[in-house]
Amino acid sequence: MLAPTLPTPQKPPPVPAKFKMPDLLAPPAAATAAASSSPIRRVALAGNPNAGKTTVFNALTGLRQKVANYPGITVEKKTGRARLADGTWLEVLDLPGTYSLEPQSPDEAIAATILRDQREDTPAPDVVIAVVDASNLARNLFLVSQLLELGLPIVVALNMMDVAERQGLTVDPVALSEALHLPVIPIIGHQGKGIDALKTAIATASAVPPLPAWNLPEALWEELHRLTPILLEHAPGAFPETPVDPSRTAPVFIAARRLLAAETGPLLKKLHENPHVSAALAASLERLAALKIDPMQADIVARYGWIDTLVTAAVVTTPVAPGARAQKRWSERLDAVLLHPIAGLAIFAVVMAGVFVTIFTIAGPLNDAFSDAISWLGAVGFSGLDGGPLRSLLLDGIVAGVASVVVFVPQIALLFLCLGILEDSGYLARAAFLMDRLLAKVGLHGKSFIPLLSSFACAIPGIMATRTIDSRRERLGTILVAPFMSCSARLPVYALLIGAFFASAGPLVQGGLLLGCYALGIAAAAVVAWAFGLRARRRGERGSTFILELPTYKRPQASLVAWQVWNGCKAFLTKAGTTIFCLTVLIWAACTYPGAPDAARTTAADQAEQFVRTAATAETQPHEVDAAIATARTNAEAQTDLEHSIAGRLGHLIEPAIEPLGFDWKIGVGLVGAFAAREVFNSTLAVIYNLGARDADDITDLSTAIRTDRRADGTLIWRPLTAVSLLVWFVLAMQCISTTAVVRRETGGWTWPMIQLVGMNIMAYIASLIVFQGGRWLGY
Amino acid sequence: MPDWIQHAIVAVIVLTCLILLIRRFRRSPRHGGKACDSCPSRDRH
Repeated sequence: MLAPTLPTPQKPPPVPAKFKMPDLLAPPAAATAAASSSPIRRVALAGNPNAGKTTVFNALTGLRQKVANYPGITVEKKTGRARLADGTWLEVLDLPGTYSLEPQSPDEAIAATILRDQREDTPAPDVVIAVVDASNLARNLFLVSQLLELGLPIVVALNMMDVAERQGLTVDPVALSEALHLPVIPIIGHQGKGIDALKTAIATASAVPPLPAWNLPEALWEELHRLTPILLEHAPGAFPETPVDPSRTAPVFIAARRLLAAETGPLLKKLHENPHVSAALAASLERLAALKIDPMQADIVARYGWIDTLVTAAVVTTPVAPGARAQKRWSERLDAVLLHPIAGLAIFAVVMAGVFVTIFTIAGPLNDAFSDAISWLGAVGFSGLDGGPLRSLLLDGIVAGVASVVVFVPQIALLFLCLGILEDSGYLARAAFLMDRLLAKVGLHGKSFIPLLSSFACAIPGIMATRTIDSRRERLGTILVAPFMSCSARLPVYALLIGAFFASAGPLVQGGLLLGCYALGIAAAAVVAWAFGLRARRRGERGSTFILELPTYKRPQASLVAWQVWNGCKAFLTKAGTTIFCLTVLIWAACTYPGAPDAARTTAADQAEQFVRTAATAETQPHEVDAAIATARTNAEAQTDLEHSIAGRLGHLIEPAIEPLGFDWKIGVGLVGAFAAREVFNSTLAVIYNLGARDADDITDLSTAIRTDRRADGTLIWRPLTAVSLLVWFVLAMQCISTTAVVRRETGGWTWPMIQLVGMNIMAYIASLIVFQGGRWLGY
Repeated sequence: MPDWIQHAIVAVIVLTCLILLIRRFRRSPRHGGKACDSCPSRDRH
């Protein structure tokens, strides 16, 4: 029976959950006693992708790691702690999903190397929890058949019992347990059912399960018997057992079988390097080839033969209830439309357009309310401070700068809400399937879709998610184009520019423009990926096959989606409160100091006064002229101070280079600031425009300020064309130091991140130049 | 508040922010640094 309740969340001891980055090329770890001497039991969750390992991890540890309704979410091991009923703690490792211990991709390699104790930074676990999807038992048991050979205690967590039941599969855990000689605990991870029983089983698991005697062809056994003495002779100490093993399951037999099946691993590599072993192996393979026996195939067939006996013993297939049958039919019909090569793509385009129009329709009014509230709070909060550097820092710097980013929280929340709903419903996995054909045309892989999709939130997890891609070329191609996907840091910039210059055009046009920004990024990514794969295609290299397990459609889980929205907003606000806050203070200082010499300030003020006097007509009242002169003098002094500041000088220095794109020095300062974090563009402009309008008591509205900013000759600096040129720049430019650092780590050097950084920025410059100059030529 | 006190407070705030920022960027993403903390989907790591 399933345990009815979730464990009460308890605070773990001070060692927190942490991420450890892998060194995929790490040499095999020396035999370590860490596992056995560790005071806390180490438990690893292993299983196929999308078997629900992270859901079990969250249920065990009380943590909230990202889970989703598609495979490939976990690409790195994660650790947490779980408390057992007797008060002792377990260290729980959530490993990336893998179909086999013979890794095909970097994320699978992480799971395989940890389980095989080949990592210096992570000792092998004391117990392995094999998370098995009860609705796909046979395929999931293949990995279990390999886990059995690790020589570690194993507990099988039979997950998704509810899904299996709906599909008419009744899995008998007792029968399965007897057949496997392992504890089998039925669970429903997402409901927390069975977790207490799982904890009890982990606490008591200590016996290493017996290995089944594989039903291999007799000729293969003969070869194994020939090989084992040679291995024992030439690898002394590696195998303590004698070759006399009636069950033929001793480690030396396993090693010999793995060698014949062309499996990999440090020990096998070492054995291979031995000339005696290598010669014996070659002779065995030759004899087997003469008999038309492929050891790898024979091994797989033997495992599946064993799995068949297990499934026969433990699974009873019952007729599916009419409701479930109807649901299956409905799901198949839906797939027929959503996965259609043409209709499916059209629906995908409409869905995405709907997402972006929704963002502008709903978030627009919320933005205005947010903006007004912050402006009011700033004015009220700092009304007691007289005009001086402190008030300027607080009001023109911190409040104006941070607020210019924070006001876009509604957009961020809506983006994560829409993506969360699409993801949890199972639709995004279909989108990945649809995209495979398109991605293959540009030299990418269906597996590139999820990393690219993650990059819409942030390129960093997207780039890390490329570890699921087997081919190095396809992986590198995906890493190179991931930053073209518009991340959530760009959204505040898009929203500011589109909102300021296209508000009157209505939400449909605004949504269309936003969609256009995202589409431009995707198109640029496609072109770059295509160009990157050109050489490989000319060499005749073919892309690897894409196999995706489509998850079932389901109603999105409100709590999961809400958590995702909350997590996205929290990260956005945390960044605004830390990185953006500090950067804004520095930008304020750079825009304030050293200030202009008195002579320059007076000259500018006099010129402004002269301009007002000249502009005043005979009908203008003297007191109106006086007021206008006072404002003009104050603002002219502020502008002069700004232009003489560090940021002003830097802006003027780079202005000639960016002028052809339609950008003035203020935009230039914003672009430089955006290299630390893209949202800083908004806060930089907010600081500049607030400092430049010293007469204003409250916070200047940034949208209004950029729309009305004029040059000395009275012409507008910002036009809709300038905004479009700037949008193009932000879509294409590589402006994220953190992303560059992650690309360096994932590619193992500076060459690719530098190519990416320089290439993307050159591309952005040329595209903005074409847009602005072309637009001007067309009369915009 | 006299201007010199205001300048002193401003200098302290600016320097603190500068130090915090340098520390934040110096922390390698490998150890859960800036790159991990700042991205909205860091839990996917």
